[in-house]
Amino acid sequence: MTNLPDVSFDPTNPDPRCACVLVLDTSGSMHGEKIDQLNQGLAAFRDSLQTDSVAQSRVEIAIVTFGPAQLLQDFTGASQFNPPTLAASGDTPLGAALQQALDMIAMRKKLYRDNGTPYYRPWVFLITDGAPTDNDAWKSAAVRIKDEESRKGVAFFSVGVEGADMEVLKQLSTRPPLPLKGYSFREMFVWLSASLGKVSQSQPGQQVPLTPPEGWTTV
Amino acid sequence: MNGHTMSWRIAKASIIGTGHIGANMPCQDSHYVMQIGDIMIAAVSDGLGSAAHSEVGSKIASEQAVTHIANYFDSLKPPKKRFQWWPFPDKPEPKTQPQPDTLETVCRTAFTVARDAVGVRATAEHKELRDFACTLLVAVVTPNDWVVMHIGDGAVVGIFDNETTRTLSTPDNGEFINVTMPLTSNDYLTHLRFSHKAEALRGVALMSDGVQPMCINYKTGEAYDGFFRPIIQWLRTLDLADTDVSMQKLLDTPRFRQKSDDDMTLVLALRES
Repeated sequence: MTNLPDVSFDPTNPDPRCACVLVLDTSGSMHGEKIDQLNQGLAAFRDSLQTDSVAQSRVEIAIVTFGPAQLLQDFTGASQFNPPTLAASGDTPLGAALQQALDMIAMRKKLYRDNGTPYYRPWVFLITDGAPTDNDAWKSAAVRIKDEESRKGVAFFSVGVEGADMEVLKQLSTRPPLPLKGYSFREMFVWLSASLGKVSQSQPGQQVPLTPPEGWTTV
Repeated sequence: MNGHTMSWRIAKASIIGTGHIGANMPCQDSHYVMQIGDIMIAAVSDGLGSAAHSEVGSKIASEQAVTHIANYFDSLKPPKKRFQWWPFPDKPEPKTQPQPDTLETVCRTAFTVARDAVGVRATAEHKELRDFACTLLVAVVTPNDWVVMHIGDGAVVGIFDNETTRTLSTPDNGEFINVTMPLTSNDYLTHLRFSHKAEALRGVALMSDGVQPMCINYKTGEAYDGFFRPIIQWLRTLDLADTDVSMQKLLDTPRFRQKSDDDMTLVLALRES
């Protein structure tokens, strides 16, 4: 048996990061059971992320809510992620919220680059039950999303809750929107957590096969 | 080697990543090393996880690139004395001195030769070239100079006196950690990074991206001496018959496994003093 050398590793190399912005509809129409179930879903998301030690150190979550469009929580490591309880009121400025999410991702990527932190393609995950109320602002957001998608700068997912304008969601991205089955937010967030966990463990150059969304959507 | 004095002391290993074992994938890293007299030629290639047959691509690419360059140095050797029926040689004697221009041309051509060889295999198997996608790093070290060529991620580190190190070629990642430019891409020559310097090296290390997090600074690309120095000193103490097995054991330790679940390749070559 050969003795092995006592090597040390470069202590300044950070783990790679996978950023995810949740863009959540908290307009008046979400009031009642919908927002309650969404809050429970977020709690399940937190719990599920905490069972995955790799995801805990690599996934970073931010939350943008609308309306009005606002940053509810800046990027937080999954290990510290503790979602605030959402309340529903106001209109549905979807375009402004998406622009804000994309701005945050651009800033986050710059920070990663400046610090030499490797990173995976960030995710934007939109959940809405309505139609945009900020006129055509969603259209310029859609142009930006498609541009980012074509450059593989962002992966955009949208989920339509009962009452959502699926036609608008279809135009946001080349990836089709998924209709939420009933109020199965919990199942959806468990899937999201598992998917982010898979991405954050993937190898360079590897395409990550995601588990098909089952149990929470009718597709 | 049966009493022959070798000019180089080399430890090399490619091991499958725990992530690949879990995903039922083969080890997609390959390496290949040859010595021609006191000249050492080494290649490391990392088959891309997204390509179905990249473990074949990386094997062919590393072997072909090294062999092509080795053939060139072989051709410079004086012909062996042998008994001849006919006392007059029918071919002119080859030149014995490497020409710097020729060396660079031969090295660059090695990448095309390697890519073509992968293409031949792809065609023979009725598959696409991209199914064999892989990176390729090649280092050629002569007594007076070194050539390093590199497409994709991974890194090459030069070793100097007193076990000091300097990165000779840094990883070329795309925007994201899980994207890299392969040898099989159409514009591979524009992504090929080529360095040739008249500088004597004490040794050289080539690695795939699985070993990068331990020893190549993400921000600066600098080599981490705390990693290399102990391994260099250790390799000098090893029995020559054990070097490859020992390198494999080193990469397979829990500390390495914890840092990376990717395939890992490390080739460390030191000049015998």
